[in-house]
Amino acid sequence: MKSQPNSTKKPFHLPTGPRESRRHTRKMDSKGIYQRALRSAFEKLHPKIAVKNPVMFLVWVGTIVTAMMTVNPHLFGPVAGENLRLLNGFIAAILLATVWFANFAEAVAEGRGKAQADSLRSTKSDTLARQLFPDGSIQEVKSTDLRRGDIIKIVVGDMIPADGEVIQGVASVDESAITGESAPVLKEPGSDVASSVTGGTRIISDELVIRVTADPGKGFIDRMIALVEGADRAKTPNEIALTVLLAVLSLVFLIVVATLPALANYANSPVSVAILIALLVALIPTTIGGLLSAIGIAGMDRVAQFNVVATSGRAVEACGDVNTLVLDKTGTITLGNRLAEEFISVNNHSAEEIARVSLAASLFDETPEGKSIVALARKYGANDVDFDSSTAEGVEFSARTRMSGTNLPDGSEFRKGAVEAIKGFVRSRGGKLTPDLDAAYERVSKLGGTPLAVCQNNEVYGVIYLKDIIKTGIRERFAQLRRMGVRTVMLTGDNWITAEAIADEAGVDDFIAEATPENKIEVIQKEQAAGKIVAMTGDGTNDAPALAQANVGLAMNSGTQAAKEAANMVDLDSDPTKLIDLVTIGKQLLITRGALTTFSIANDIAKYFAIIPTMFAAAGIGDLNIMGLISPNSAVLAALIYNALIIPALIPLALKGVEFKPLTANQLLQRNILIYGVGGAIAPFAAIKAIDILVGLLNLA
Amino acid sequence: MSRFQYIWQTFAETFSESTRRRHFSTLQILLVMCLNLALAPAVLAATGAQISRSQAYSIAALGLLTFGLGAYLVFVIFQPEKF
Repeated sequence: MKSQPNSTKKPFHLPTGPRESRRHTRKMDSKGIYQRALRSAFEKLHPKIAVKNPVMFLVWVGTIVTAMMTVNPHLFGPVAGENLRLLNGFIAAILLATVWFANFAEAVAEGRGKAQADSLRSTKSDTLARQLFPDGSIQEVKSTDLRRGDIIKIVVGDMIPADGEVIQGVASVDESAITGESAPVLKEPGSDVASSVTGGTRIISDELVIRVTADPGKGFIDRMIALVEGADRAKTPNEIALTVLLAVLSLVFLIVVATLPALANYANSPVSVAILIALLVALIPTTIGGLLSAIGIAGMDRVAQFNVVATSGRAVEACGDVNTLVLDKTGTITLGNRLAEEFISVNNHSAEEIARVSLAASLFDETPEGKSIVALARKYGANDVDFDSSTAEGVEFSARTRMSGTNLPDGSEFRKGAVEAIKGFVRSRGGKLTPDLDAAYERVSKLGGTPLAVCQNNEVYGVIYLKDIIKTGIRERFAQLRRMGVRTVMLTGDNWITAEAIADEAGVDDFIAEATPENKIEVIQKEQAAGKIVAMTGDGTNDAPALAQANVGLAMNSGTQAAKEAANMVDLDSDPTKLIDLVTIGKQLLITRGALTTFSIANDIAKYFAIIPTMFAAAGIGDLNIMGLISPNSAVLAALIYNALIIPALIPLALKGVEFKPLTANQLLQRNILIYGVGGAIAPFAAIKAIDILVGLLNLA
Repeated sequence: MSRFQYIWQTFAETFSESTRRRHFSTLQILLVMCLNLALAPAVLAATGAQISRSQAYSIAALGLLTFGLGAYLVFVIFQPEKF
């Protein structure tokens, strides 16, 4: 946590407007995705790949058996009826189409990831690096020969050959290859947010000396490529649970269909094996079975389109289950840069006097806050200091002292900082404190600003009002999160009065004032102990333990290597507000999977009513043929054609995701059951009837 | 080498660990066909003269396939992370 943001931090782009408009996609060659998917869908018919999807594997085996029955319709015993070869051939073709469509959906989703990986791979190239040796000599080596710990020198125009930490120099780096952001980023050593560089980016001014932090093939871009390609995509807990459900349903229906011939023969309605296979395929949840992996891959892809790299699908899914968001105030809720608004003098000093002391105390302060104090002091008429600044010494801000300032050779000390810290400083030098300092402190705090006290030696001059600007639209987004059941907790180093004022204005549910880095991990552990799923953002090394502890840890790309290693997501745009978007993306992923599962199972009911009554009409249940389907064969064909066509029809929904509404879990469940449950049960009746009429008109069965 | 020894040696080689690893699918098909040899006559006996011998073999194979698919689905239920 930083109470004084670093000057090198990129300016924030205010996330306003609908979520889709904030999407930030890297350049990706999407040409050929569909051609590749067409080919890949056939490749996925290989038994070794097909066996990975239990529902579709059953359909694939059914296809082979019906194909054999097309050659010999009486393969499994005598069957009554005409045109059996044609009917079996149709069934085999439709079953093959069902498997192929499911493979195609998965291939399209994978293809988008592969296209992204290709665009990333194009940024990687073997370059020559100048390696520095301990004796001071420089030798040109291949970038692939660089190892962790090697020291290299990069000059203007060079491609950075490997991930590393800046140990010397200040330079501008173009990171557009990985972030898509054209504005260069300043890199310098010793800073939490600007000292790490990524291989594949380009240095566009000055030069840097960096220590390599990743071995070849293990860099940030390499990990990103592996992730977006889905090479090491492990199933998420939700996917595993759904796989079990689908396998159980498939097993139940397999047993039902396998035992049906005995009952059918008893009822004098013998059924052919091809029709039994058709019935099995119509009953098992093929729609969700075919689209399940595509939904998961598309979820990862949506996250990548927001320029966030997730280490696993599990992390994306966890976003959807988040109950508590732990957010830093600075940069997330308020704009990163607080600006000096007013000088409030105390102790009978004039505004000009406090302006002069503030100017002297901020002389070496390079932060935006420090610069804004200097600018305000000049407005108050303090144009210059009355000492030789070249002989003065700057005192840097630290979390321990909570103040910064300037020391002069004659022993004079100018300080500005937290009011309590300045009070202690003045007391330690024998100075006296006046009640109007507390009054000024309270006044600024109640306005939601940060009060900085200013003193010269043992004399307090007044308070600087640093104005915190709350991001536009943040209140509405917190309200939206609240409606979804997500609690927001703001962490700030500010005092309680300021924190309360900002929390109230921003509309967060809870806040922790005067927080230290250790507080973050305490808050997360407390929430997790209460059974909550916690998400947080961070960029500094001191955030790393909390990022690792949180269920969803979003590290900023501008942050330190430690933070990026500890987190399970990295935001390439370094925008902490994006955590809110990720929660909605995660929820959208879960909602889409739930909606399509409901739709798939509801569909089965209609298919059951289409096939069973016509199949066993001879057994006296013909009255249940409420759809008035022409014949058993046309009913089977209609149900199977619908079953096959619904998969490609739902591919766009699986890839794009169900439209997200900020509702509670109960409201979402009701909405899903109504639209995808009831709708999923009614829609197939109409579609199967229409296909049945068409089959009858074409005389196909 | 006696005929018995020759058959035993061939059997041992066929089902040795290394052969099983190299030709897993082939061996599985062989075992299913052997099992089918035992099942098909039972199917034929149960159905009387309604079906031919080849149809009895097909039905027995279909039964084994169905059983195999059931076993596969049970495996998926207990080890879902592998799928």
